[in-house]
Amino acid sequence: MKKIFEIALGILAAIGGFVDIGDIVFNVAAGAMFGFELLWVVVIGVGAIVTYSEMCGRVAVVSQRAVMDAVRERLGYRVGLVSLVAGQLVNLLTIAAEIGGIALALQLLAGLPFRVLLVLAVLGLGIVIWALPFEWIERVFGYVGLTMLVFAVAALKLNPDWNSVASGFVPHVPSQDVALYAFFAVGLIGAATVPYEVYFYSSGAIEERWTPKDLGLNKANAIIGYSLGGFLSCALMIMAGALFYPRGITPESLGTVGLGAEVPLGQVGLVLALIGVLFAVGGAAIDSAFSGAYNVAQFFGWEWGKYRRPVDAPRFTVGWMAMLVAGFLIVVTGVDPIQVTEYSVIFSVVALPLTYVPILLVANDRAYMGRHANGRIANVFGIGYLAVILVISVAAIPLMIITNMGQG
Amino acid sequence: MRRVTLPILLLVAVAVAACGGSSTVSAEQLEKQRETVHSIAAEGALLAADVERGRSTPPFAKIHSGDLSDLADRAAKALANPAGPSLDAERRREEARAVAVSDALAQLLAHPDDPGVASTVRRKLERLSG
Repeated sequence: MKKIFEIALGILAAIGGFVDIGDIVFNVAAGAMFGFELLWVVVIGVGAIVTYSEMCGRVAVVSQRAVMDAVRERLGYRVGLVSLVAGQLVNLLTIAAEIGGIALALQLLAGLPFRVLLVLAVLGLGIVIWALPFEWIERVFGYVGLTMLVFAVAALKLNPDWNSVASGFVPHVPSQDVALYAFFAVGLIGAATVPYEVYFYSSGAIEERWTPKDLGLNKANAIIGYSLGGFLSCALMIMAGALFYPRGITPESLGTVGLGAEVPLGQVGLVLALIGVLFAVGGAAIDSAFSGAYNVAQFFGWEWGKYRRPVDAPRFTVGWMAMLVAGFLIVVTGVDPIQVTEYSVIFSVVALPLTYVPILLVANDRAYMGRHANGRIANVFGIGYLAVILVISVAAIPLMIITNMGQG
Repeated sequence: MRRVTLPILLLVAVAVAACGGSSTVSAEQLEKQRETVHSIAAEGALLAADVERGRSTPPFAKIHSGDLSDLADRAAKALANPAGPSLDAERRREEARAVAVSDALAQLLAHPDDPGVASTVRRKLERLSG
Protein backbone atom coordinates (compact mmCIF):
# COMPACT_ATOMS: atom_id res chain seq x y z
CA MET A 1 0.00 0.00 0.00
CA LYS A 2 2.90 2.35 0.84
CA LYS A 3 4.34 1.78 -2.66
CA ILE A 4 0.99 2.66 -4.22
CA PHE A 5 0.87 5.95 -2.30
CA GLU A 6 4.48 6.65 -3.27
CA ILE A 7 3.66 6.76 -6.95
CA ALA A 8 0.87 9.26 -6.24
CA LEU A 9 2.90 12.12 -7.73
CA GLY A 10 3.11 10.23 -11.01
CA ILE A 11 -0.59 9.39 -10.88
CA LEU A 12 -1.54 13.03 -10.25
CA ALA A 13 0.84 14.21 -12.93
CA ALA A 14 -0.75 11.67 -15.27
CA ILE A 15 -4.38 12.26 -14.35
CA GLY A 16 -4.14 15.97 -13.70
CA GLY A 17 -1.37 16.72 -16.16
CA PHE A 18 -1.40 14.30 -19.03
CA VAL A 19 -5.15 13.74 -19.09
CA ASP A 20 -6.29 17.34 -18.79
CA ILE A 21 -8.98 19.19 -20.71
CA GLY A 22 -6.64 19.63 -23.71
CA ASP A 23 -5.86 15.94 -23.88
CA ILE A 24 -9.52 14.96 -23.51
CA VAL A 25 -10.64 17.38 -26.25
CA PHE A 26 -7.86 16.47 -28.72
CA ASN A 27 -8.09 12.70 -28.22
CA VAL A 28 -11.85 12.52 -28.61
CA ALA A 29 -11.81 14.88 -31.62
CA ALA A 30 -8.96 12.91 -33.23
CA GLY A 31 -10.83 9.61 -32.74
CA ALA A 32 -14.06 11.08 -34.12
CA MET A 33 -12.34 12.50 -37.21
CA PHE A 34 -9.71 9.86 -37.98
CA GLY A 35 -10.86 6.71 -36.17
CA PHE A 36 -7.85 4.88 -34.72
CA GLU A 37 -5.31 6.31 -37.17
CA LEU A 38 -3.63 8.67 -34.70
CA LEU A 39 -3.04 6.20 -31.85
CA TRP A 40 0.70 6.05 -32.70
CA VAL A 41 1.00 9.77 -31.97
CA VAL A 42 -0.15 9.17 -28.38
CA VAL A 43 2.76 6.76 -27.94
CA ILE A 44 5.21 9.45 -29.13
CA GLY A 45 3.66 11.98 -26.71
CA VAL A 46 3.94 9.52 -23.80
CA GLY A 47 7.56 8.76 -24.67
CA ALA A 48 8.43 12.45 -24.75
CA ILE A 49 6.82 13.31 -21.42
CA VAL A 50 8.24 10.20 -19.68
CA THR A 51 11.75 11.06 -20.93
CA TYR A 52 11.64 14.70 -19.88
CA SER A 53 9.77 14.18 -16.59
CA GLU A 54 12.33 11.58 -15.53
CA MET A 55 15.08 14.03 -16.51
CA CYS A 56 13.69 17.02 -14.62
CA GLY A 57 12.78 14.84 -11.63
CA ARG A 58 16.39 13.63 -11.58
CA VAL A 59 17.69 17.22 -11.80
CA ALA A 60 15.42 18.16 -8.87
CA VAL A 61 16.51 15.18 -6.78
CA VAL A 62 20.25 15.66 -7.38
CA SER A 63 20.41 19.45 -7.14
CA GLN A 64 17.39 20.02 -4.87
CA ARG A 65 16.36 22.64 -7.43
CA ALA A 66 13.24 22.50 -9.59
CA VAL A 67 13.30 23.21 -13.36
CA MET A 68 12.92 26.98 -13.32
CA ASP A 69 15.36 27.33 -10.45
CA ALA A 70 17.99 25.27 -12.29
CA VAL A 71 17.40 27.03 -15.61
CA ARG A 72 17.80 30.44 -13.97
CA GLU A 73 20.97 29.39 -12.19
CA ARG A 74 22.71 27.44 -14.97
CA LEU A 75 21.56 29.26 -18.10
CA GLY A 76 21.38 32.81 -16.84
CA TYR A 77 18.85 35.56 -16.35
CA ARG A 78 17.94 36.21 -20.01
CA VAL A 79 17.31 32.60 -21.06
CA GLY A 80 15.49 32.07 -17.78
CA LEU A 81 13.32 35.13 -18.31
CA VAL A 82 12.29 34.06 -21.83
CA SER A 83 11.47 30.59 -20.50
CA LEU A 84 9.54 32.10 -17.58
CA VAL A 85 7.44 34.47 -19.71
CA ALA A 86 6.60 31.80 -22.31
CA GLY A 87 5.77 29.27 -19.60
CA GLN A 88 3.58 31.71 -17.69
CA LEU A 89 1.57 32.74 -20.76
CA VAL A 90 0.83 29.12 -21.56
CA ASN A 91 0.06 28.41 -17.88
CA LEU A 92 -2.45 31.23 -17.88
CA LEU A 93 -4.30 29.96 -20.94
CA THR A 94 -4.15 26.43 -19.55
CA ILE A 95 -5.62 27.33 -16.17
CA ALA A 96 -8.42 29.30 -17.85
CA ALA A 97 -9.23 26.24 -19.96
CA GLU A 98 -9.13 23.91 -16.93
CA ILE A 99 -11.38 26.15 -14.81
CA GLY A 100 -13.83 26.33 -17.73
CA GLY A 101 -13.61 22.54 -18.01
CA ILE A 102 -14.45 22.08 -14.31
CA ALA A 103 -17.52 24.31 -14.68
CA LEU A 104 -18.62 22.42 -17.83
CA ALA A 105 -18.26 19.03 -16.10
CA LEU A 106 -20.17 20.30 -13.05
CA GLN A 107 -22.87 21.70 -15.31
CA LEU A 108 -23.31 18.34 -17.05
CA LEU A 109 -23.56 16.67 -13.62
CA ALA A 110 -25.83 19.19 -11.87
CA GLY A 111 -27.50 21.28 -14.60
CA LEU A 112 -26.77 24.60 -12.85
CA PRO A 113 -25.87 27.86 -14.67
CA PHE A 114 -22.33 27.92 -16.07
CA ARG A 115 -21.22 31.22 -14.50
CA VAL A 116 -22.39 30.17 -11.02
CA LEU A 117 -20.38 26.99 -11.42
CA LEU A 118 -17.33 28.96 -12.56
CA VAL A 119 -17.39 30.88 -9.28
CA LEU A 120 -17.90 27.66 -7.30
CA ALA A 121 -15.05 26.01 -9.22
CA VAL A 122 -12.55 28.74 -8.36
CA LEU A 123 -13.68 28.95 -4.72
CA GLY A 124 -13.54 25.16 -4.42
CA LEU A 125 -10.04 25.00 -5.89
CA GLY A 126 -8.86 27.79 -3.61
CA ILE A 127 -10.22 26.05 -0.50
CA VAL A 128 -8.76 22.67 -1.51
CA ILE A 129 -5.30 24.13 -2.20
CA TRP A 130 -5.36 26.14 1.02
CA ALA A 131 -6.65 23.39 3.28
CA LEU A 132 -5.18 20.13 2.00
CA PRO A 133 -1.52 19.11 2.32
CA PHE A 134 0.31 18.47 -0.98
CA GLU A 135 0.21 14.67 -0.51
CA TRP A 136 -3.55 14.67 -0.05
CA ILE A 137 -4.14 16.88 -3.08
CA GLU A 138 -2.16 14.32 -5.09
CA ARG A 139 -4.06 11.40 -3.67
CA VAL A 140 -7.59 12.83 -3.88
CA PHE A 141 -7.33 14.18 -7.43
CA GLY A 142 -5.07 11.41 -8.74
CA TYR A 143 -7.02 8.48 -7.41
CA VAL A 144 -10.58 9.82 -7.85
CA GLY A 145 -9.55 10.88 -11.36
CA LEU A 146 -8.87 7.21 -12.01
CA THR A 147 -12.63 6.81 -12.48
CA MET A 148 -11.78 7.96 -16.01
CA LEU A 149 -10.84 4.32 -16.52
CA VAL A 150 -14.55 3.98 -17.27
CA PHE A 151 -13.62 5.14 -20.79
CA ALA A 152 -11.48 2.02 -21.20
CA VAL A 153 -14.51 -0.09 -20.22
CA ALA A 154 -16.65 1.93 -22.65
CA ALA A 155 -14.12 1.35 -25.44
CA LEU A 156 -14.18 -2.41 -24.75
CA LYS A 157 -17.98 -2.48 -24.61
CA LEU A 158 -18.20 -0.74 -27.99
CA ASN A 159 -16.34 -3.72 -29.44
CA PRO A 160 -14.11 -1.88 -31.93
CA ASP A 161 -12.36 -3.61 -34.82
CA TRP A 162 -9.18 -4.60 -32.96
CA ASN A 163 -7.22 -5.12 -36.18
CA SER A 164 -7.85 -1.47 -37.09
CA VAL A 165 -6.94 -0.45 -33.53
CA ALA A 166 -3.65 -2.37 -33.77
CA SER A 167 -2.79 -0.83 -37.15
CA GLY A 168 -3.44 2.62 -35.63
CA PHE A 169 -0.28 2.16 -33.55
CA VAL A 170 1.83 1.90 -36.73
CA PRO A 171 3.03 5.37 -37.86
CA HIS A 172 1.61 6.36 -41.24
CA VAL A 173 0.37 9.35 -43.23
CA PRO A 174 -3.17 9.30 -44.66
CA SER A 175 -3.87 9.76 -48.36
CA GLN A 176 -6.27 12.68 -47.78
CA ASP A 177 -6.79 15.50 -45.26
CA VAL A 178 -3.04 15.48 -44.60
CA ALA A 179 -2.99 19.00 -43.10
CA LEU A 180 -5.88 18.22 -40.73
CA TYR A 181 -4.23 14.94 -39.74
CA ALA A 182 -0.96 16.79 -39.08
CA PHE A 183 -2.80 19.44 -37.04
CA PHE A 184 -4.26 16.76 -34.78
CA ALA A 185 -0.89 14.99 -34.52
CA VAL A 186 0.69 18.27 -33.38
CA GLY A 187 -2.19 18.90 -30.95
CA LEU A 188 -1.95 15.41 -29.46
CA ILE A 189 1.80 15.70 -28.83
CA GLY A 190 1.30 19.24 -27.51
CA ALA A 191 -1.48 18.13 -25.16
CA ALA A 192 0.76 15.33 -23.86
CA THR A 193 3.77 17.55 -23.24
CA VAL A 194 2.31 20.86 -21.95
CA PRO A 195 5.10 22.67 -20.06
CA TYR A 196 3.28 22.92 -16.72
CA GLU A 197 3.54 19.14 -16.34
CA VAL A 198 7.34 19.22 -16.01
CA TYR A 199 7.37 22.37 -13.86
CA PHE A 200 4.87 20.74 -11.52
CA TYR A 201 6.57 17.36 -11.55
CA SER A 202 10.03 18.68 -10.68
CA SER A 203 8.69 21.02 -7.99
CA GLY A 204 6.60 18.13 -6.64
CA ALA A 205 9.81 16.12 -6.20
CA ILE A 206 11.12 18.90 -3.93
CA GLU A 207 7.76 19.16 -2.14
CA GLU A 208 7.96 15.43 -1.41
CA ARG A 209 11.59 15.82 -0.24
CA TRP A 210 12.96 13.20 -2.61
CA THR A 211 16.67 12.45 -2.21
CA PRO A 212 19.08 10.58 -4.54
CA LYS A 213 17.78 7.41 -2.87
CA ASP A 214 14.45 8.14 -4.60
CA LEU A 215 15.83 8.15 -8.15
CA GLY A 216 14.19 4.76 -8.73
CA LEU A 217 10.91 6.14 -7.44
CA ASN A 218 11.31 9.08 -9.83
CA LYS A 219 11.70 6.70 -12.76
CA ALA A 220 8.75 4.59 -11.63
CA ASN A 221 6.55 7.67 -11.20
CA ALA A 222 7.41 8.98 -14.66
CA ILE A 223 6.99 5.65 -16.44
CA ILE A 224 3.94 4.28 -14.59
CA GLY A 225 2.14 7.62 -14.19
CA TYR A 226 2.45 8.85 -17.75
CA SER A 227 1.91 5.41 -19.28
CA LEU A 228 -1.35 5.32 -17.37
CA GLY A 229 -2.17 8.73 -18.82
CA GLY A 230 -1.31 7.43 -22.28
CA PHE A 231 -3.54 4.40 -21.72
CA LEU A 232 -6.46 6.70 -20.85
CA SER A 233 -5.76 8.84 -23.92
CA CYS A 234 -5.83 5.76 -26.13
CA ALA A 235 -9.08 4.64 -24.46
CA LEU A 236 -10.67 8.03 -25.23
CA MET A 237 -9.53 7.86 -28.86
CA ILE A 238 -10.69 4.25 -29.31
CA MET A 239 -14.07 5.08 -27.74
CA ALA A 240 -14.50 8.04 -30.12
CA GLY A 241 -13.23 6.04 -33.09
CA ALA A 242 -15.71 3.24 -32.42
CA LEU A 243 -18.74 5.37 -31.55
CA PHE A 244 -18.50 8.76 -33.30
CA TYR A 245 -16.31 8.15 -36.36
CA PRO A 246 -18.66 5.69 -38.14
CA ARG A 247 -21.62 8.03 -37.52
CA GLY A 248 -19.89 11.18 -38.81
CA ILE A 249 -20.15 12.90 -35.41
CA THR A 250 -17.65 15.71 -34.79
CA PRO A 251 -17.43 16.65 -31.10
CA GLU A 252 -18.08 20.31 -30.36
CA SER A 253 -18.59 20.23 -26.59
CA LEU A 254 -17.58 18.35 -23.44
CA GLY A 255 -21.02 16.71 -23.43
CA THR A 256 -19.95 14.57 -26.39
CA VAL A 257 -17.22 13.05 -24.19
CA GLY A 258 -19.84 12.13 -21.56
CA LEU A 259 -22.05 10.64 -24.26
CA GLY A 260 -19.15 8.37 -25.18
CA ALA A 261 -19.48 6.64 -21.80
CA GLU A 262 -23.27 6.92 -21.55
CA VAL A 263 -24.11 5.13 -24.82
CA PRO A 264 -22.28 1.88 -23.96
CA LEU A 265 -22.62 1.97 -20.14
CA GLY A 266 -25.74 4.00 -19.28
CA GLN A 267 -26.21 6.34 -16.31
CA VAL A 268 -23.49 4.77 -14.16
CA GLY A 269 -20.94 5.11 -16.96
CA LEU A 270 -21.97 8.71 -17.57
CA VAL A 271 -21.71 9.76 -13.91
CA LEU A 272 -18.36 8.00 -13.41
CA ALA A 273 -17.01 9.56 -16.61
CA LEU A 274 -18.07 13.07 -15.58
CA ILE A 275 -16.63 12.62 -12.06
CA GLY A 276 -13.39 11.38 -13.63
CA VAL A 277 -13.25 14.36 -15.98
CA LEU A 278 -14.06 16.71 -13.08
CA PHE A 279 -11.19 15.42 -10.93
CA ALA A 280 -8.72 15.10 -13.83
CA VAL A 281 -9.41 18.65 -14.94
CA GLY A 282 -9.49 19.84 -11.31
CA GLY A 283 -6.09 18.22 -10.75
CA ALA A 284 -4.78 19.92 -13.89
CA ALA A 285 -6.09 23.30 -12.68
CA ILE A 286 -4.19 22.80 -9.40
CA ASP A 287 -1.06 21.67 -11.28
CA SER A 288 -1.10 24.74 -13.51
CA ALA A 289 -1.87 27.14 -10.62
CA PHE A 290 1.05 25.69 -8.67
CA SER A 291 3.28 25.71 -11.77
CA GLY A 292 2.65 29.41 -12.26
CA ALA A 293 3.50 30.14 -8.63
CA TYR A 294 6.48 27.77 -8.59
CA ASN A 295 8.00 29.35 -11.70
CA VAL A 296 7.85 32.94 -10.51
CA ALA A 297 9.01 32.11 -6.99
CA GLN A 298 11.89 29.94 -8.22
CA PHE A 299 12.98 32.49 -10.81
CA PHE A 300 13.11 35.35 -8.31
CA GLY A 301 14.48 33.23 -5.49
CA TRP A 302 11.48 33.59 -3.18
CA GLU A 303 10.45 31.04 -0.57
CA TRP A 304 8.11 28.52 -2.19
CA GLY A 305 6.38 25.23 -1.52
CA LYS A 306 3.05 23.94 -0.33
CA TYR A 307 4.89 22.22 2.52
CA ARG A 308 5.58 25.69 3.94
CA ARG A 309 2.87 27.55 5.82
CA PRO A 310 1.33 30.43 3.77
CA VAL A 311 2.94 32.99 6.12
CA ASP A 312 6.34 31.41 5.48
CA ALA A 313 5.96 31.59 1.68
CA PRO A 314 3.58 34.56 1.23
CA ARG A 315 4.55 35.45 -2.36
CA PHE A 316 4.19 31.84 -3.46
CA THR A 317 0.72 31.74 -1.84
CA VAL A 318 -0.29 34.98 -3.57
CA GLY A 319 1.12 33.50 -6.80
CA TRP A 320 -1.21 30.48 -6.97
CA MET A 321 -4.16 32.61 -5.88
CA ALA A 322 -3.37 35.11 -8.64
CA MET A 323 -3.21 32.27 -11.19
CA LEU A 324 -6.67 31.06 -10.13
CA VAL A 325 -8.14 34.57 -10.29
CA ALA A 326 -6.51 35.33 -13.68
CA GLY A 327 -7.79 32.06 -15.15
CA PHE A 328 -11.26 32.81 -13.82
CA LEU A 329 -11.21 36.34 -15.28
CA ILE A 330 -10.30 35.00 -18.73
CA VAL A 331 -13.03 32.39 -18.85
CA VAL A 332 -15.77 34.50 -17.20
CA THR A 333 -15.63 36.89 -20.18
CA GLY A 334 -17.73 34.33 -22.03
CA VAL A 335 -15.05 32.79 -24.25
CA ASP A 336 -15.72 29.17 -25.12
CA PRO A 337 -13.59 27.02 -22.75
CA ILE A 338 -13.13 24.39 -25.46
CA GLN A 339 -11.70 27.03 -27.81
CA VAL A 340 -9.44 28.34 -25.04
CA THR A 341 -8.28 24.75 -24.60
CA GLU A 342 -7.43 24.37 -28.27
CA TYR A 343 -5.52 27.66 -28.34
CA SER A 344 -3.71 26.85 -25.09
CA VAL A 345 -2.50 23.53 -26.51
CA ILE A 346 -1.35 25.02 -29.83
CA PHE A 347 0.44 27.96 -28.19
CA SER A 348 2.04 25.62 -25.66
CA VAL A 349 3.47 23.67 -28.61
CA VAL A 350 5.14 26.85 -29.89
CA ALA A 351 6.66 27.44 -26.44
CA LEU A 352 7.73 23.82 -25.86
CA PRO A 353 11.41 24.23 -26.87
CA LEU A 354 11.80 27.05 -24.33
CA THR A 355 11.00 24.54 -21.60
CA TYR A 356 12.55 21.35 -22.94
CA VAL A 357 15.87 22.63 -24.35
CA PRO A 358 16.99 24.05 -20.94
CA ILE A 359 16.01 20.78 -19.19
CA LEU A 360 18.16 18.78 -21.61
CA LEU A 361 21.10 21.19 -21.17
CA VAL A 362 20.94 21.14 -17.38
CA ALA A 363 20.51 17.34 -17.25
CA ASN A 364 23.71 17.04 -19.34
CA ASP A 365 25.72 19.44 -17.18
CA ARG A 366 28.21 17.17 -15.39
CA ALA A 367 29.41 19.99 -13.16
CA TYR A 368 25.88 20.23 -11.87
CA MET A 369 24.59 16.68 -12.06
CA GLY A 370 27.81 14.75 -11.36
CA ARG A 371 27.42 11.02 -11.99
CA HIS A 372 23.65 11.48 -12.37
CA ALA A 373 24.01 13.48 -15.62
CA ASN A 374 22.27 12.07 -18.69
CA GLY A 375 23.68 8.79 -19.96
CA ARG A 376 23.68 7.69 -23.59
CA ILE A 377 20.14 6.23 -23.53
CA ALA A 378 18.65 9.31 -21.89
CA ASN A 379 20.35 11.50 -24.51
CA VAL A 380 19.25 9.38 -27.46
CA PHE A 381 15.64 9.65 -26.32
CA GLY A 382 16.03 13.25 -25.16
CA ILE A 383 17.54 14.48 -28.44
CA GLY A 384 15.15 12.39 -30.54
CA TYR A 385 12.08 13.78 -28.79
CA LEU A 386 13.55 17.27 -28.84
CA ALA A 387 13.79 16.99 -32.65
CA VAL A 388 10.08 16.07 -32.73
CA ILE A 389 9.27 18.97 -30.41
CA LEU A 390 11.22 21.44 -32.59
CA VAL A 391 9.43 20.27 -35.75
CA ILE A 392 5.94 20.53 -34.25
CA SER A 393 6.69 23.89 -32.63
CA VAL A 394 7.52 25.30 -36.08
CA ALA A 395 4.54 23.61 -37.75
CA ALA A 396 1.88 24.43 -35.12
CA ILE A 397 0.84 27.96 -36.16
CA PRO A 398 0.88 27.36 -39.95
CA LEU A 399 -1.23 24.21 -39.44
CA MET A 400 -3.60 26.11 -37.16
CA ILE A 401 -4.16 28.70 -39.93
CA ILE A 402 -4.36 26.22 -42.82
CA THR A 403 -6.91 24.00 -41.05
CA ASN A 404 -8.88 26.84 -39.49
CA MET A 405 -8.10 25.48 -36.01
CA GLY A 406 -8.91 21.93 -36.99
CA GLN A 407 -12.24 22.80 -38.57
CA GLY A 408 -11.00 21.68 -41.99
CA MET B 1 -0.67 61.98 -47.54
CA ARG B 2 -0.37 58.83 -49.66
CA ARG B 3 1.63 57.10 -46.90
CA VAL B 4 -1.21 57.73 -44.44
CA THR B 5 -4.09 56.81 -46.75
CA LEU B 6 -2.85 53.38 -47.81
CA PRO B 7 -2.65 51.88 -44.30
CA ILE B 8 -6.06 53.33 -43.51
CA LEU B 9 -7.57 51.78 -46.63
CA LEU B 10 -5.94 48.45 -45.74
CA LEU B 11 -7.31 48.65 -42.22
CA VAL B 12 -10.81 49.41 -43.52
CA ALA B 13 -10.56 46.46 -45.94
CA VAL B 14 -9.48 44.12 -43.13
CA ALA B 15 -12.26 45.45 -40.87
CA VAL B 16 -14.90 44.93 -43.58
CA ALA B 17 -13.65 41.40 -44.18
CA ALA B 18 -13.62 40.66 -40.45
CA CYS B 19 -17.18 41.98 -40.06
CA GLY B 20 -18.45 39.41 -42.53
CA GLY B 21 -17.93 41.25 -45.76
CA SER B 22 -18.34 37.92 -47.55
CA SER B 23 -22.09 37.33 -47.15
CA THR B 24 -22.71 34.56 -49.67
CA VAL B 25 -22.44 30.85 -48.94
CA SER B 26 -19.82 29.09 -51.04
CA ALA B 27 -19.99 25.44 -52.11
CA GLU B 28 -17.26 24.64 -49.58
CA GLN B 29 -19.10 26.39 -46.75
CA LEU B 30 -22.33 24.66 -47.72
CA GLU B 31 -20.64 21.25 -47.56
CA LYS B 32 -19.07 22.12 -44.22
CA GLN B 33 -22.41 23.19 -42.73
CA ARG B 34 -24.11 20.10 -44.18
CA GLU B 35 -21.59 17.92 -42.33
CA THR B 36 -22.07 19.94 -39.13
CA VAL B 37 -25.87 19.59 -39.22
CA HIS B 38 -25.55 15.86 -39.93
CA SER B 39 -23.14 15.51 -36.97
CA ILE B 40 -25.47 17.38 -34.59
CA ALA B 41 -28.51 15.37 -35.69
CA ALA B 42 -26.66 12.04 -35.34
CA GLU B 43 -25.36 12.96 -31.89
CA GLY B 44 -28.78 14.24 -30.82
CA ALA B 45 -30.32 10.94 -31.94
CA LEU B 46 -27.87 9.00 -29.72
CA LEU B 47 -28.72 11.23 -26.76
CA ALA B 48 -32.48 10.96 -27.37
CA ALA B 49 -32.17 7.16 -27.61
CA ASP B 50 -30.51 7.09 -24.19
CA VAL B 51 -33.20 9.33 -22.66
CA GLU B 52 -35.87 7.10 -24.20
CA ARG B 53 -34.35 4.01 -22.54
CA GLY B 54 -33.75 5.73 -19.19
CA ARG B 55 -29.97 5.54 -19.64
CA SER B 56 -29.25 9.26 -19.26
CA THR B 57 -29.62 11.76 -16.41
CA PRO B 58 -31.96 14.78 -16.71
CA PRO B 59 -29.22 17.43 -16.10
CA PHE B 60 -26.97 15.86 -18.74
CA ALA B 61 -29.78 15.47 -21.28
CA LYS B 62 -30.92 19.05 -20.65
CA ILE B 63 -27.51 20.71 -20.91
CA HIS B 64 -26.23 18.65 -23.80
CA SER B 65 -29.41 18.92 -25.89
CA GLY B 66 -29.30 22.69 -25.23
CA ASP B 67 -25.68 22.87 -26.44
CA LEU B 68 -26.50 20.85 -29.55
CA SER B 69 -29.58 22.96 -30.25
CA ASP B 70 -27.45 26.14 -30.04
CA LEU B 71 -24.94 24.63 -32.48
CA ALA B 72 -27.75 23.79 -34.93
CA ASP B 73 -29.06 27.37 -34.56
CA ARG B 74 -25.59 28.69 -35.39
CA ALA B 75 -25.45 26.48 -38.48
CA ALA B 76 -28.92 27.70 -39.55
CA LYS B 77 -27.75 31.30 -39.21
CA ALA B 78 -24.65 30.60 -41.28
CA LEU B 79 -26.89 29.02 -43.92
CA ALA B 80 -29.30 31.97 -43.95
CA ASN B 81 -27.04 34.01 -46.23
CA PRO B 82 -27.80 33.66 -49.96
CA ALA B 83 -25.76 31.37 -52.18
CA GLY B 84 -25.11 31.41 -55.92
CA PRO B 85 -28.05 30.37 -58.17
CA SER B 86 -26.79 26.83 -58.60
CA LEU B 87 -26.49 26.32 -54.84
CA ASP B 88 -29.42 28.25 -53.45
CA ALA B 89 -31.99 25.44 -53.52
CA GLU B 90 -29.60 23.15 -51.65
CA ARG B 91 -28.74 25.94 -49.21
CA ARG B 92 -32.43 26.45 -48.39
CA ARG B 93 -32.88 22.71 -47.84
CA GLU B 94 -29.90 22.61 -45.48
CA GLU B 95 -31.09 25.70 -43.62
CA ALA B 96 -34.52 24.11 -43.12
CA ARG B 97 -32.82 20.91 -41.91
CA ALA B 98 -30.70 22.85 -39.41
CA VAL B 99 -33.81 24.61 -38.07
CA ALA B 100 -35.65 21.28 -37.77
CA VAL B 101 -32.70 19.72 -35.90
CA SER B 102 -32.55 22.70 -33.54
CA ASP B 103 -36.33 22.52 -32.89
CA ALA B 104 -36.21 18.78 -32.18
CA LEU B 105 -33.35 19.25 -29.71
CA ALA B 106 -35.22 22.14 -28.08
CA GLN B 107 -38.05 19.67 -27.36
CA LEU B 108 -35.58 17.38 -25.59
CA LEU B 109 -34.21 20.38 -23.71
CA ALA B 110 -37.73 21.16 -22.44
CA HIS B 111 -38.48 17.51 -21.51
CA PRO B 112 -35.12 15.93 -20.61
CA ASP B 113 -36.71 13.08 -18.61
CA ASP B 114 -39.71 12.20 -20.78
CA PRO B 115 -39.17 8.92 -22.70
CA GLY B 116 -42.17 9.61 -24.95
CA VAL B 117 -40.83 12.97 -26.13
CA ALA B 118 -37.36 11.45 -26.46
CA SER B 119 -38.74 8.69 -28.69
CA THR B 120 -40.33 11.25 -31.03
CA VAL B 121 -37.16 13.37 -31.04
CA ARG B 122 -34.98 10.33 -31.75
CA ARG B 123 -37.05 9.31 -34.78
CA LYS B 124 -37.03 12.87 -36.09
CA LEU B 125 -33.26 13.25 -35.66
CA GLU B 126 -32.53 9.84 -37.20
CA ARG B 127 -34.47 10.94 -40.26
CA LEU B 128 -32.73 14.33 -40.37
CA SER B 129 -29.29 12.78 -40.02
CA GLY B 130 -29.88 10.42 -42.92
